[in-house]
Amino acid sequence: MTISKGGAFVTGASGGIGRATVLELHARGYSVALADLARAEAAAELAGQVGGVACDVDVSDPAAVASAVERAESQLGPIEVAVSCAGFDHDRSFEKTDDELWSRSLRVLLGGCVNVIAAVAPGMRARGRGSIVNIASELALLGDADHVAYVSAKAAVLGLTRAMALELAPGVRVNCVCPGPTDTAMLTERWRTESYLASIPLGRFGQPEEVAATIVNLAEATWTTGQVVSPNGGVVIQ
Amino acid sequence: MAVVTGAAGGIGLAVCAGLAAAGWTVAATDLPGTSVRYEADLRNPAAAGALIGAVTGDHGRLDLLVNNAATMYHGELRAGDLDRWWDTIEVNLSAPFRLARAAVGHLRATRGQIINMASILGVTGEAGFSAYCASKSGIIGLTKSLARELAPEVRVNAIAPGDVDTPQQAVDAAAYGLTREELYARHARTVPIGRVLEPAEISRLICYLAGETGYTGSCIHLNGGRAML
Repeated sequence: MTISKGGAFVTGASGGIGRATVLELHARGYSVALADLARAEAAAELAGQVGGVACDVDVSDPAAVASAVERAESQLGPIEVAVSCAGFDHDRSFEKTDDELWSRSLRVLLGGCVNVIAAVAPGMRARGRGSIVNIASELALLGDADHVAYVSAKAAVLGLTRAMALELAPGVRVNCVCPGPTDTAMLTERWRTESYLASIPLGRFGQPEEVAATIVNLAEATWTTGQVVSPNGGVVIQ
Repeated sequence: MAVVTGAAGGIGLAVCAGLAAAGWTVAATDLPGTSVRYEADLRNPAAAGALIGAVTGDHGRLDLLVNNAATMYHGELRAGDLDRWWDTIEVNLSAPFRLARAAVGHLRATRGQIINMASILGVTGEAGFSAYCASKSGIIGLTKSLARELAPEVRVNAIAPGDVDTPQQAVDAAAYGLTREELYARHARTVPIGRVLEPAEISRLICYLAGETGYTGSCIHLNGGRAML
């Protein structure tokens, strides 16, 4: 029986990177709360596997996130680490990006991070410790055609991370991971070509477990805040 | 033919004057009640299409869109206080997206360009300004995505100013509990060039970018050395 490092809260917990992050946190001794939307069965199964708790949450809804964090803390104790993985992607030309897709991208990809921070920060601040990791994307650094809403929202997460790192210092740290092309269901056929693969300096897609290790390493990096770290196989070097 | 949003503000006024001096016809837009030719409240999603329609209806073409209008407030991120947080995102990020979408057909036709106003704070962060910081890093992502997607017909760039001598400085000073003079003294100590920037310096950079066809997807930092990027 390992001694628990305390509670962790992960959104998008049934997705490729989210799931790997849950397993990594569990392996390192955290009690994990798994927030996900409409994948209750997968989340419950994974929760059972790691002895955590699962909740069905729309991360764009501040009240739903707040109540999920409250429930998680009542069952697991204080949240020490929060990771916002929840997201969705789309391929849509700029001219065809309507207000609905634009707003939903902002509310889920950016708002999901905002709502998790707003929910966990008061408790973390009161305790004088805590670590928040926002998941953006390598595309936030690069830009991408046919992805304007996704990229804009993910790029906004970088500024959010930097501002909140300063706002919540010194007790609470806030960092950001920008995964490159990772072998998950979100990596669509568009990316799975020989020519794209050949353009990746490390010659392969990332594995979710590799990204999860970066996320949890960053979550536990006690002298690191406001940073953007991009595990991307060398696709972006800047 | 250029459209400049936020044209009644400190930087906007200088940009309009600079572009006009460089030979551009400028459609100045700002909130209703300001002394500009085209009034538009960019919080209203329908305003972007109406504005671009009015300008192109009057002038027949569009070559340059300068997304300069922005808003900011000082306050910690709190669950019960997210309306003005999202209001900031709407004005600073969603409105530039909608204006670009309304303008893109005209800009393709003229092989035109978009210049988005970002900010040093999108890159450095600032406590108490999370919505503004998010909106300004977001607009850099918007800039890069549009630059990729609209090339080669339309070029899209951003400018990230540091501290500029505008009426906004008085608002910032109040947020920090300083007088405007105290804030300027602090800038003089912490900004390597020892002073705030003049709006005309931002305007000159915009005029330069507008004339240089080699730039797209760039974010040009102009901040007196406050952030060396």
